[in-house]
Amino acid sequence: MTPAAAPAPREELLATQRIGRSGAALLYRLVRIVAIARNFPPPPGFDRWDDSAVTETAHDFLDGERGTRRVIEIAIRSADEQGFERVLEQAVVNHLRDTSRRTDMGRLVRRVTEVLTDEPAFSRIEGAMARWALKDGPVIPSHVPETTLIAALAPVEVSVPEWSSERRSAPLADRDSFTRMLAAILAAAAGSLTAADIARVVATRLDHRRTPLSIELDVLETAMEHSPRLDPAVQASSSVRAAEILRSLSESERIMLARFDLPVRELGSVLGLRKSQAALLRQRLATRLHEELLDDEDPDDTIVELCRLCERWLADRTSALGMTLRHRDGGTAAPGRWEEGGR
Amino acid sequence: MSHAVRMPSFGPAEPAYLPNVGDVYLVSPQLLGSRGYGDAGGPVPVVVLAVSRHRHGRITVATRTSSRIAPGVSHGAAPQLGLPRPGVWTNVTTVDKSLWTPHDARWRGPLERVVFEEVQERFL
Repeated sequence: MTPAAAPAPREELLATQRIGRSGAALLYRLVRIVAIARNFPPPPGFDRWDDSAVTETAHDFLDGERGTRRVIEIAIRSADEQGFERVLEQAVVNHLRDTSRRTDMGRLVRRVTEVLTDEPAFSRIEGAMARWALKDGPVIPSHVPETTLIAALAPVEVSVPEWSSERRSAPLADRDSFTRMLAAILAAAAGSLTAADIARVVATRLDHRRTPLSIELDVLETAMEHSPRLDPAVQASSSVRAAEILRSLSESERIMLARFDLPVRELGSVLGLRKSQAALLRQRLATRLHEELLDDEDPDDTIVELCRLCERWLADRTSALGMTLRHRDGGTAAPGRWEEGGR
Repeated sequence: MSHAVRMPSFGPAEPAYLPNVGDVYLVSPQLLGSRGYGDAGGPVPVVVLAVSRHRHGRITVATRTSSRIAPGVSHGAAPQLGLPRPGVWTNVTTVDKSLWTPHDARWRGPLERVVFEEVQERFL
């Protein structure tokens, strides 16, 4: 007897509400390709994208409740396995981009704090979150808009030292430049700022992001056919299609789409069903949507719009029921408005 | 850790292989570093122009578009290479050697010599 074929990643996720072997293999593969092809820096402690770096990043991507919910949302928002892979890839790009920004900005905040601490021109104001001011300058928290602070940096001369090491990051600017920038910002602030506030302003003047966010190729992109998702006509078509599908959904189905992030057990409680029944209904709904969207030009957009409509419907329904209950409390019970939407 | 329980571990990534210069491959668009590459987000046809000898080097490829008005070297339909429509070899890019795996770069066959020479002449 031949063993059964492994389920595809999206199918597996919809059925079990968790990443299984196929999903894990896909995620590892996408993290590796996206990270290397788009030249993202490896995570701290790694000097290249080896298997351990990929594994750690994939685990970070999934870590916590938010990570799991994100992958489940991707599964429902995609209409098929190919769409799932495409949306998951974009989520991985965004994750690596966020991580890269956080790391680079964190490094910049640390550098700013170091200079503020070392240089006698600045004084630290203790508090729940330390603030910084010019020595003998005003210490009240600054209310000057960030744009004014950024403008104050314009005339400041910034020198970037020559750097040849390939192993260590080049400094963003020399120490004197940092001191001049921080002094200019705090003078313009006419008060105190946190190191993070200051770093945000400094970042507008320095190339603090070490890595290109992508290595897009311009010539081919213009030569290739554009994705239909960029076309406003397709977007409008997705909205219309989503509204049509919404009208055909029962209340339970709308709730399932609005709360697709819920584990099956909790979904069952919401719908008043057993866990196994809720799982079956959810699987049927996914299959039905997949079939309905077979001829859709951009099923991903339609699903995103449909989920949004269902979430709005559920929010309206919840507030309407709240009002109904209040009316009932006052002896003026209103009819069950939402019961007419079901099939 | 919770994620370690949720996600199974695997062995090393699929090993990469070295392509042949002058051959056509269908590569995953992600290898080219840009989402949405290709006519329908599917595999992108490329012809290999050069392969770095360095261990961590890159593979130089020319990509093909089915848009007839793109600048580059015109090429008729070649169904035997998985190219059922006429197109243009239009741009040169590089791919990290470590990403050239059987899953993401599928061999189709050698490009006609006369076309390949024209592509080489134009882009190298």
